[in-house]
Amino acid sequence: MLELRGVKVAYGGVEVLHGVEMSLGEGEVVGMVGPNGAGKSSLLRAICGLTRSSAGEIDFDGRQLRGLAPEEIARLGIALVPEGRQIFGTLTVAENLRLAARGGAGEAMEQVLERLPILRRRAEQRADRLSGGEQQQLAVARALLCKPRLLILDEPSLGLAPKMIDVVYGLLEELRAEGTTMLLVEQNAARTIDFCHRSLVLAGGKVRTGGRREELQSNPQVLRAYMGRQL
Amino acid sequence: MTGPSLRSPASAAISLAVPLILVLLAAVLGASGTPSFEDTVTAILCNLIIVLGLQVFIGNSGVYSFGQLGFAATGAYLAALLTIPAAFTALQTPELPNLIAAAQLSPLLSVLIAAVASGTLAAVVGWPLMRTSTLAIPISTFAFLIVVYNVLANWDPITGGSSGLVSIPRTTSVTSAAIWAAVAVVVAIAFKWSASGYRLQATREGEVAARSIGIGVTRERLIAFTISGTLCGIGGALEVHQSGVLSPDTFYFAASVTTLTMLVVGGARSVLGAVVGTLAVATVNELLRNLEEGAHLLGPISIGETPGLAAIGLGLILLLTMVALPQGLTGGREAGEVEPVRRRLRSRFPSTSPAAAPTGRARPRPARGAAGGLRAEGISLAFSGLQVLREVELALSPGEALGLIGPNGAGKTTLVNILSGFQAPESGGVLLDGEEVTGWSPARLTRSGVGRTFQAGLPFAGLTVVESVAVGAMGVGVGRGRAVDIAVDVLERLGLGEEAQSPAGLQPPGNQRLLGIARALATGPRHLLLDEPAAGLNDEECRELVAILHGVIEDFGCAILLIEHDMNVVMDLCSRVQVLDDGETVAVGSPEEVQADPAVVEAYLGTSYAVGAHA
Amino acid sequence: MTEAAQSLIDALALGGLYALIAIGVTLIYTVMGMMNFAQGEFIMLPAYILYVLAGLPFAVAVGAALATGVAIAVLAERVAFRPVRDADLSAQLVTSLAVATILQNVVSATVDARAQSVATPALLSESSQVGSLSVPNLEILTLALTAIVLGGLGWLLYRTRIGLEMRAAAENFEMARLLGVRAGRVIAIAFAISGALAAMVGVLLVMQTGQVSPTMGLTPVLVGFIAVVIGGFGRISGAVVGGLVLGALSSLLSAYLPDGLVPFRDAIVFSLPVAILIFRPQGLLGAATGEARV
Repeated sequence: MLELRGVKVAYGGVEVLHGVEMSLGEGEVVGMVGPNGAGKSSLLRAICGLTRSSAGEIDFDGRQLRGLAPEEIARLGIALVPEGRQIFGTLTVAENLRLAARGGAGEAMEQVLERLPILRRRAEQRADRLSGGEQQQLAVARALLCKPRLLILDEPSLGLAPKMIDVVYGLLEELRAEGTTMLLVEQNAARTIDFCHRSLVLAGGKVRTGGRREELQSNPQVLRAYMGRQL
Repeated sequence: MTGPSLRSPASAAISLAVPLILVLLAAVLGASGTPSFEDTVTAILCNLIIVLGLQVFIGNSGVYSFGQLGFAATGAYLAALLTIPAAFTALQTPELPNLIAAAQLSPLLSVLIAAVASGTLAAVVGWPLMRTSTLAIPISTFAFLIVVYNVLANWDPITGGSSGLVSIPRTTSVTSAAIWAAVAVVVAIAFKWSASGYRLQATREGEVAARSIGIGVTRERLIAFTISGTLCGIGGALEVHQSGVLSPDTFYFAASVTTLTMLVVGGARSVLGAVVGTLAVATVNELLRNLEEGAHLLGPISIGETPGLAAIGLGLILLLTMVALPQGLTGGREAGEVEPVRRRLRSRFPSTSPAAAPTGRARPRPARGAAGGLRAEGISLAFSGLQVLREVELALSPGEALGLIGPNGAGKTTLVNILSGFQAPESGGVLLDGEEVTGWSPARLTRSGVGRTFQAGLPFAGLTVVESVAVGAMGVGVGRGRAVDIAVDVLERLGLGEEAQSPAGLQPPGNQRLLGIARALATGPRHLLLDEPAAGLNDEECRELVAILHGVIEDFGCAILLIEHDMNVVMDLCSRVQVLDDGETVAVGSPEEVQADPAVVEAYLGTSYAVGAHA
Repeated sequence: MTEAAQSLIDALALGGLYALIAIGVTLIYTVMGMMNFAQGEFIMLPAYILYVLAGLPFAVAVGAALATGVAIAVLAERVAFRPVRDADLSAQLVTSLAVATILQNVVSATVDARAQSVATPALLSESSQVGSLSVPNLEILTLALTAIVLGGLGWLLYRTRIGLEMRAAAENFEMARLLGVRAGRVIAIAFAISGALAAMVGVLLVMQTGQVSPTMGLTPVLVGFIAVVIGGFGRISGAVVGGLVLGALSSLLSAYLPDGLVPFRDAIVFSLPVAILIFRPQGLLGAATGEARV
């Protein structure tokens, strides 16, 4: 479904991604882990069109994504739950959802509110009154309302208390079971590797290693990428 | 060459000579033409002085002021009133104080008085205006322009009202205009290359980074604003003595747009740009004005009478420049910095004098008081509903290297922001050598010895490498000469000596990191806070970085706080490591202790890695 | 007592006019981050349509004026502002200045550089009795229009899809695009509304002064800028407050300023907001940010 070949991204003359290769098949849940500054967020931004990649190809079901505007990429079926959630604080919960629903509001909204009753309760409240965990649920719900073919999540557990992380991941588990294609970026390597069918380790602007869940789980290479040679 | 400098003498000479030569050429051309042509050239040279005034402020600060012609108007009116013969003054401006009305000074004296007056006005008006936010300065200066216009147009008994003044002695010759223009060129370049000029340019390149090296943004803007106002006042005074007439409309909106166009088309950042832009736009203006009367172009093509063609043409030129060539014809470069010149000069002049050994001139100030060190006590901060820091304590003792690690979002950068004055904690405090410094501005903290770098680097892309670092020293008040010495020393030490004259913005990522560190070092810190200096570096570069930082601690005697994710760097450099997770300190100790601590491993990697972690 | 009430209504009417200008400036600011110098020309050109179409029925001329306002705003966005959309704010500001100059001089060249008179429909130069007060009809119209605009804008922003998109874009443009909001559409509509508002202001100004001139937009645009700045950037409520404050100030000064100082009313009005900016750089309603700028 999604294929990246030789993708490079540079900010103001500084290259942060030095040629990333990866692919994602339909129904797969793929994780991307790695230390900060490795370029994970830059990669996601490049896929979603927020940043222009300086080289390489980004292929989504045969369509080239490079050069497309973010709204066009979104309408092709890629939904991003960005780092820090970025819900519209000055809009109500309901308005946040309506914005994403883009017309076919009724039924899809109902389904989402069924899944996440907390949102129904707070529907008319301003979104900036929600707790971190609730905001994260709103962000995911919002992404789901776009009826995406590919759901990308950038550090969904960031800044959340452990209990809330469990709740959010519970939701993600349901989605995984339903066959939603997902790309999950997280700093918590263990949880991510455990959750995804397959994971990649991005460090220093390149994909260093990767593999199926079982292969990676006791792979010292992952640890090394994070903690240095002493470990 | 007597010592390291920011540019080779040849480059400096060319940069100074070329604009002066252009002024001279224009003057010669004017003097040899018809009287009416000479008048036109004289007027253009007077205009140039105003454009140079604009360049001093706008070019160096990157902030647009739309009010500078208010100072030109002030200078012009004052100079006019001081030189109009008493009889005429009585007619036009009956209530003018006798002192001014009766005065019939020499033109030169009137220009000097106008300069002082408009400079003073600029300082007085600039003080409140420069304190407004960067976005509000264009608007508040625009308001100033309109206020000046309003006063001049309505204060009939003093200024002659909207009909203006006549019978102003026409004493400005092409020679005197050229001389004043040359003076203005020298002033503009001298300012640009002075410590104050560099500090202001740093604010243009990055306001946040500028504050982190001790620069007072308002102060630097005010200095340039005052100089700018003075030059504009001189230009206005000279111009009015060329045309002989003056009204509030002379230095109002149309003239503001014209002079701004001249600056932008030439390239706002350079003095050469101001000169080239003025001459080019003035020429086009004259051509279009001639066409306004209708002209026969080529063969069957001719245009009828089109008043206003010149102004429309200029507007289109301005628009085109903003869209296609925002840095203007010169690209913001001085004559000695243009690529072909730079290439030829590089082969003939060394960029910096190679230092035999680091001279250690960038010595930090000696520690005050016995309770040395930078401490954070009980720091808490929450925003957007998230508790970012929770009762965090940190102690950075003199000469030590402390690593601050933890997962993304743990609050490390926020803590450094608080330690360096960019954010204020909700509770708790920061102590420097025992003194409470919570709430001090970043600039004040830097001047007290707390330096920092940024995760994003925030380079001064438009300056050269050596300029970027030297301005760090200038930021804390070091004079230009010594600042350059310090910069060269630091650059040599960090292995960047070769790149001294290259533009900072074009450096590769590894060098950009080092440049940020060099810039912070130039401020002579006793406590250096580094935010992920190894991000984006490969293994070898990391090793070099560690060696450099070891050297910094030894030679400079400064303590280092290091936020890092690269464990190699942390383990090699730091004697102590503090781990932050979710706003709280999870562990503090030696690198070995921390690495083996299961809580730490779990924070980073999750439970399954904590149990049975092994190489 | 009646005099005070009269002054109050004068103040409100002028405040309403200024608020309309300020809202037009703010709308563009919220979607583009740009202070639009050319707003004055969006006001001036529709006013000239009234002059040019003087022979036609008033309603037709006003309709044409409104259409012109919308057209010129959308056209300016497409031709001049879109290419510099990603440039820094100074560049955008200077671009809008260039557009303003071009439009001003085109009018100067094609019509006349001097002011021209425009006849006001009789109804609008008269006054009506409201209780014990005699209120100029024009002021009633201004107040009514302001109320309608505020109501209409409120409806648009809070009850329509496009309004929702605009509010989202104003808060976080990037995120809005990630949800499929078309940037081009939102910006064009913001400009169109801004143009319509400017046209209304232009028409009202013509009715008030009976004149049009190429530079008639300069003072209003400054008023708009200052109103936005004292109200706090980027919020419509701030623009309204800023406009009302400036209008009230201007109107009260006109009424109560000693004779000798009356010609300097504008100078005083424009100097005072600067004082606000020094003590509260974020404006009266601007949110004080507790976040780092790093």
